Amino acid sequence: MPDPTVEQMLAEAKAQFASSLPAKAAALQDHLARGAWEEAKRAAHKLRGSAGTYGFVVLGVAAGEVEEALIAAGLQPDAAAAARIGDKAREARAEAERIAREGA
Amino acid sequence: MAREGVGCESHDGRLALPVAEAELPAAPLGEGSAVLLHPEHPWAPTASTERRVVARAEERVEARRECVMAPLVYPRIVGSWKVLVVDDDPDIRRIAALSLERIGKFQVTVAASGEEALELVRKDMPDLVLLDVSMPGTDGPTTLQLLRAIPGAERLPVIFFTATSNDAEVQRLVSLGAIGVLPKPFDVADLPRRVRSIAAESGLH
Repeated sequence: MPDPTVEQMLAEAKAQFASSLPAKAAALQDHLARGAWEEAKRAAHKLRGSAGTYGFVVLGVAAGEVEEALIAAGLQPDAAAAARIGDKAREARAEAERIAREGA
Repeated sequence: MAREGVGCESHDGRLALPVAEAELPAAPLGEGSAVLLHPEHPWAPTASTERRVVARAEERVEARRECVMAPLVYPRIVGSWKVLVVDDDPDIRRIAALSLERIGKFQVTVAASGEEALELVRKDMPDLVLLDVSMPGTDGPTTLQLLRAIPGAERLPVIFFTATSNDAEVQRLVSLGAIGVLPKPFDVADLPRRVRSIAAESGLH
């Protein structure tokens, strides 16, 4: 059996990453629900960089918005800010689940 | 060493910004400072042009400093480059390593933390390090600082990876001693070319 091509290896890596996205987005929501703002920022930061790099731009942007909002709130969002951030995280999760379901 | 808001102007008046960011040896005004500028740098004078530039303080004071042209010395790399990728995110390590190995034909080693990176550098010196800025524990800038204390790694070329790539942050990271900054997300297919480009601009060959 010939070695896989670069394209095949990239496609495999992308598919595996896609299947891991719902859990990552759920973890982000969990951090937010617990008020673990630093962990939430870290999770959003990671998702922002990795999702964009793997080609999932919409998810990367949504995760970036969560991160930026947390930073803007000084990692101590009030109730209104926390609600807005929660909405963004829900959008990110919905996109993550769509990607895992549809593959792109 | 003194960090100063000084720029070097070539004879045609262009401002050499990298020199403006350089650490200049403290010297009385008018007595001159040596500035390293790679001869292949686009702003470096060619042999046919005057190999002198005049540095001028931003305030346009009368101070004049002679900038001595000298090449940055990096060892020539024989064979494929050994690149160490440092990132706490396994998804980034995987895709960066895949890109650099399979597309760029680099030899790649990965580390999941600053501490692991330091250990790997002590064992087997890479030619270049791609270093994530934001990592738990020892972050990228701290890792770079610790790296410089390792014998042989004093001038090891380091490129930062960061998702926060505004101009101020890029300038801050370069001022820490990195040869460049790559934003995240990055184009997987283009990563090797970007790395080579930054390395070439810094005199690594």
